[in-house]
Amino acid sequence: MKLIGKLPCLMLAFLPLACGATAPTQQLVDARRSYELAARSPASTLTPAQLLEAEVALNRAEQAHKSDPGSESERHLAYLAQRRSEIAMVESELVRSRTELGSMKKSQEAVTEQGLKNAQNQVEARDGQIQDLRAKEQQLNSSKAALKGELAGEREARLKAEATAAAALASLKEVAMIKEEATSMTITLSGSVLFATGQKVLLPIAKSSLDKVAEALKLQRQDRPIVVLGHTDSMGSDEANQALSLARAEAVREYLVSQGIESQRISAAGKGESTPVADNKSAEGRANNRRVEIVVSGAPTPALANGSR
Amino acid sequence: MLLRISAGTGSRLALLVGSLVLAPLGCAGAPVPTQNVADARASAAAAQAVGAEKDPQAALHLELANNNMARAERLISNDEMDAAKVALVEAKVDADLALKLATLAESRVEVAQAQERLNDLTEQAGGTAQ
Repeated sequence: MKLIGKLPCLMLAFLPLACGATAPTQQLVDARRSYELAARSPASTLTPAQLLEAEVALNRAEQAHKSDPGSESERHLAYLAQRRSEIAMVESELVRSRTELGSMKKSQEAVTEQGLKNAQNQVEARDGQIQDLRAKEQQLNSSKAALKGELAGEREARLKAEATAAAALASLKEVAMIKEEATSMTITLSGSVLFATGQKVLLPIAKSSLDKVAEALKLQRQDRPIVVLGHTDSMGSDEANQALSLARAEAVREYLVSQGIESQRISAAGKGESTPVADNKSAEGRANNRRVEIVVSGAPTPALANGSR
Repeated sequence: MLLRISAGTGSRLALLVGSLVLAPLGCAGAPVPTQNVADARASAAAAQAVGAEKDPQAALHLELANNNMARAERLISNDEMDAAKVALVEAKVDADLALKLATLAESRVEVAQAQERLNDLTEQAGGTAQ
């Protein structure tokens, strides 16, 4: 547009040549070329005021050429016009460079801002993780304290149970003989303490001893099966002794059940005179053979299913 | 070398102008173009201040300006004030161009630095600069 506007001026400049007039100075030729370059450059849009100054300067040079061709005035004004055109172009480059710089600074700010946001997000995420970890730590500390309390309670209860069991065992030892082995415990009660001669009904005094037995049994693990075994001396027939030993074992079993021992856990069996522990020839030996044994074994409870009673 | 010579040209010219201005008023010649001297000097000083000597193109025009100022000095001494004025006007326009060229060179350096900084920032952020 600008260039088009200059065309008459340029045409005017070349006119004298066509008419055989004096040729323009080299300075004017250079000025025209510089202006043309400037008019085609971004100066037309970025620095129109400077380009206008160049145009005015060139017009003055052209005028000087027209009125006094080849003069010092033409050379001087053309010199100025050329510089004005160059200034307009450089100025437009400067505007473009500054615009680019401004754009870059904005990009820098945007990148920096984004970087800050990212860093902030990371910090927040880490803060969240720290809070989670602290909450977990607190939870673990609470669980640890609770567990510690629980363990202390259990330990206390176990010590108490052990003390009770020891006391019950000590009390039982006053009325019975206790034999403890790796997988079983046998409590032996003298027949004379429990029954009258030839009888299968418990003596009133027997109940006190059996109460201590019941207390001791209750303190044992509840899955240990118990067998009550009745024994007699060799006096009388085998059949009678067998029946008597079974009846006595049953009596003891029933009493123990009445004292809280689970019925499915305890069974009874009669051994008659088959397993003496002493010589039946002496009165003392026979007294020792008349006995009831309560065997607490380590075998599992299902053994009761065989029902030896 | 020429620039070095020219660096003193402005002050010598000012001194010369000062002495001529204070010369007897009875002189019949045209007046000394003091305003043109001042304008040319100011433009040359401004171009130098932004480092025109460091950019080849700007340095060339600053040199042309200084040459014209030196020429003006001689012309003023010969009482050729009109010719001196012409030289001073051309000196000013060359100095103006030198100033613009030096400013542009400086701006381009800033753009390059800004681009480098932007690349660094973008790299740190894990992306690519546009």
